[in-house]
Amino acid sequence: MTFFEIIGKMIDTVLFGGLEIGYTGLSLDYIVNGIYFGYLIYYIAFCMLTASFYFMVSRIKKKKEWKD
Amino acid sequence: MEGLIFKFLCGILYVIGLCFGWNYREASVYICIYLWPALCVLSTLPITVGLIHRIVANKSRWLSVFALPFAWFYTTCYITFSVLIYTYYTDGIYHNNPFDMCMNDLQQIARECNTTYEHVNIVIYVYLFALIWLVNGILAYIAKPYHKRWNILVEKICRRKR
Repeated sequence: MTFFEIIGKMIDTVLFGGLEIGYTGLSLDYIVNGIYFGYLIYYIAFCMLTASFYFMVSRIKKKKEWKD
Repeated sequence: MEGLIFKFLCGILYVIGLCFGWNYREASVYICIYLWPALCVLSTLPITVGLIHRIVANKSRWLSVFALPFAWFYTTCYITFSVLIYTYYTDGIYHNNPFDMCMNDLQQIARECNTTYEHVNIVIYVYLFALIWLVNGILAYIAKPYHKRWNILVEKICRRKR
């Protein structure tokens, strides 16, 4: 039980401490939403980059197969 | 035993600090407060990479498209907690001394949970870190489209059904 107690206390300390200091007067779901939509564009950029990387790798592999 | 593990970890921190020219306090602040949450955030990214690979390789594509926002929400939760950790330990009363602030908090947690400071340290920086990486590793493995062993098992099951 100590493990979960310690983790719970840590979350309490950081969550409420961080909320009081950094985001006074804002609720947690407001912050989560802010990050969810605020960083979304970077996430989409990351997704597109990774997808294009996989696409390029698969094309190179296919070309090699044709040559072989 | 816990004291020994704690001293060993402190030694590792000290050695890492020596490599970069930091003292022990600086090394523990950079690694335990700044790097630890960042590594946890990074460990969630392979899940997304696996899902994108599924979409590109057309392996349960629509399920992966549906799962992507949830994967992003999972990463968002980690980012939120990291941002809170950073704001808490850099804008506090001990403005220039996050090390003392963190130590006070850990001692407070130890007092409230009736354990030692070393035990709290090991639970947070070893057990929790291992648990997060294990859970994210399993999720990333599930998200990955091609599993050799897993596919062999699935094929065997399909053959039996036929």
